Amino acid sequence: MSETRTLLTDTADRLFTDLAAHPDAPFAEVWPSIAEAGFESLLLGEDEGGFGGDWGDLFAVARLAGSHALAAPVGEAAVAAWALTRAGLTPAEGLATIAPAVDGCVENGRFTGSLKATPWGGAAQTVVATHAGSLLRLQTTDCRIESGHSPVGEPRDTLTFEGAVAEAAPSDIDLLACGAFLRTAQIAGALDAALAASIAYANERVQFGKPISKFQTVQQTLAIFAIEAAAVNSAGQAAARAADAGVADFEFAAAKLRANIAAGQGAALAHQVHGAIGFTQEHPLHRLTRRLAGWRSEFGSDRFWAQRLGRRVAGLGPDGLWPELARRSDAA
Amino acid sequence: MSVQTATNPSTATRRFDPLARKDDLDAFRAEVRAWLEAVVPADWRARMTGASEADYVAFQRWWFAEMGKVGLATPHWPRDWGGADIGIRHQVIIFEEIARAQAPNPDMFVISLYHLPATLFGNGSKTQRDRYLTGVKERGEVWCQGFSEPGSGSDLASLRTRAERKGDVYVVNGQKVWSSYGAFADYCLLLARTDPTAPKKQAGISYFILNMKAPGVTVRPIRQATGQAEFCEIFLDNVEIPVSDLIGEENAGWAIAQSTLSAERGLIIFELSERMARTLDADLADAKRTDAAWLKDDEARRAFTRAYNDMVALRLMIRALMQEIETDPHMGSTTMPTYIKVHFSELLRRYTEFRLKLGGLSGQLRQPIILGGGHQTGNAMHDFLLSYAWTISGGANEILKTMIAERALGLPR
Ligand SMILES: Cc1cc2nc3c(=O)[nH]c(=O)nc-3n(C[C@H](O)[C@H](O)[C@H](O)COP(=O)(O)OP(=O)(O)OC[C@H]3O[C@@H](n4cnc5c(N)ncnc54)[C@H](O)[C@@H]3O)c2cc1C
Repeated sequence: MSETRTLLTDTADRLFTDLAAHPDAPFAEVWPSIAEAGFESLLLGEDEGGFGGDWGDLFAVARLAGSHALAAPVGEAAVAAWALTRAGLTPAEGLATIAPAVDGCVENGRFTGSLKATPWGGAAQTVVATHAGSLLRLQTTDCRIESGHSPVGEPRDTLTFEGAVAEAAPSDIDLLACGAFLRTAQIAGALDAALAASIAYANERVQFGKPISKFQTVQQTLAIFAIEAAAVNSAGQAAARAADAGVADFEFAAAKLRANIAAGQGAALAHQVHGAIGFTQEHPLHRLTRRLAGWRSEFGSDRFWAQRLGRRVAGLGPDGLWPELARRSDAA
Repeated sequence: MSVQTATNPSTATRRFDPLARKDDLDAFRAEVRAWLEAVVPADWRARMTGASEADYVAFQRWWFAEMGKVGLATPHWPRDWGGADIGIRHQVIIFEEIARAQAPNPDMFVISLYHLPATLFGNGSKTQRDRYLTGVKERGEVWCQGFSEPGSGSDLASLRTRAERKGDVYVVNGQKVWSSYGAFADYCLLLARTDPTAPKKQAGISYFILNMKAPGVTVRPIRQATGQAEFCEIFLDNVEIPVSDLIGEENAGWAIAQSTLSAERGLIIFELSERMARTLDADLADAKRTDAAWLKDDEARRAFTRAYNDMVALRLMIRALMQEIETDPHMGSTTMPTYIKVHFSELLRRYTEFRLKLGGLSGQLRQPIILGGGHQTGNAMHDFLLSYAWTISGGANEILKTMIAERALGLPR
């Protein structure tokens, strides 16, 4: 764990709180303050001009972004910068993001194909993608941008390239898994925030002459919710520890699958406790819950990660699972 | 908006009359089908995608009028009150065919079609029934429901909107909230307190017909998380309601409200369940035709099969309810509607979630909404988010489960 995490999370919390006060501010006004705070270079070493942070730091920051329903690719930019540096590619110019889904091929250093539903793809100058054992660095000046939106209205753009110059380097970085880690952290934060909002609302809302938090059904709903949120936070933090210790593909997969399941449960429980008021645009709850609904299918759906994990676990054989789990949790 | 009525010129001249064929179920079905094929505009979904509110309202009115022309706007009402006097099997056929044709949902008229008649059938005066049921059937009057208030949701009996008798009128002051279609409504089913001193809160409530155009009524639309401004706040400032628009006796409103709520929890789901059945069958057929990957995925198969079972059970519950209503058109029991609402809302949540998952990454991208598409807009994220409303509206599921425990199962309070 980095020494300066408290400093980092204080800065992030303050900045994201300010930004959350203007949820509809244009991105061009939001991003400069985030860039200025240096979150993009969070994972870069101090000698590389970065913050020298680890995956635990990234988890903490992305978690806060999630809890404030921040509409900005903080984690994507940090992972993009880190991946480019690790692979020895040219650093990003301006905003860099990562592509969740790559469909295409590279020939003679040129990429033809499309990057689907890329977070802030249209706003970014540089896009980093994983393709056939390589890391690709692409410039959005070379592509056609078809803008799309997440359920809450964040950009998820499809970028189509036609023989565009692609810097490439062999790399074992799995950007899909990294993106899954980011979404896990955001889901963890959004669940905690939705839980806190639900508890506060239940204590405040009076029906039948008492706060609805006095009804056992509501209490149990909140208790189940708390368990879900805690599970995602634990799984995400364990994944961060594993990444800081070495290879974490198993943990990233398990954490995202757990987060997906909790996102579905948590959003439903939050709405149930809030009643009709939570179903309005004026109430801020939907900023969290619509994100939760969208993040669930980004960077690997339930089925995707369940299959990947399932194959791997089955491959360990009848005597292999327990020692493997023990080895991993001992290391963490 | 110009509404193209006939999509097929050769049938445009023919007059359809399904009710004339009601003695022969097959002929009845064939006529309903032929009518739908001729009348439902092939492009209505495209036209209602991201449509303006004015276009939506015009289209709803047009569709309701078209249904009325063939006597199918209010087929489930008793004949004396403007209905078609047909049995359950006919009604099933109508909704099956409507679902099959993917016809628009007349959702703006839901209160007019279900809540209003359920309220007036057993409790309204003859004058009220003649005036207001005819108004729906012949003039397409839109109704909304003014039950909930900012401080009174689950605890409806605590409502504070006040109605005071002054000569020939009641003077009403207060505020209602979450009234669906309130912005388009001509009338409102209104609950207000007439006796604030009654020892039991329930005993001081009366049931009124409120003219939404009356002086002192202000409506403010509230936008939902899905983007639609479906429900409204209604502010009542010294609004005068003629004594003739009191439904039933003064202070007897609570019991009458139970009839309204029975319709809201039961019969209202009839059309929705037929549409849902259609969606499940279509999804399955599509998957088989395209050899979809989920057909070989154990978990997806289980989720689908469970939804399918639940859908079959839902349809059977609706039929049981309709049999109850056929024997006792005024009321029926309140138990079955409560079961139906809890069952439907939970099934809807699970199935819309299943479809969202099948859609993968592209399924979760935001698309414009199809107005009047109900829960089968094909926009998986919208349909899923809308399912959050169903475990709350018409009585939160927690409250309904307590009702089942206490009233149906006789468990201690
Ligand atoms: C889409 C939509 C359309 C609607 N349309 C209309 C309409 O047309 N007309 C109208 O009058 N109303 C309408 N409503 C309002 C609806 O009837 C209320 O939302 C509902 O009764 C719940 O009330 P509430 O929202 O105030 O939630 P609350 O009553 O505040 O409940 C919040 C939470 O607390 C729980 N809770 C409350 N009391 C208890 C208890 N005793 N035991 C256990 N749990 C409890 C509830 O189950 C819920 O989970 C609509 C609502 C929605 C969402």
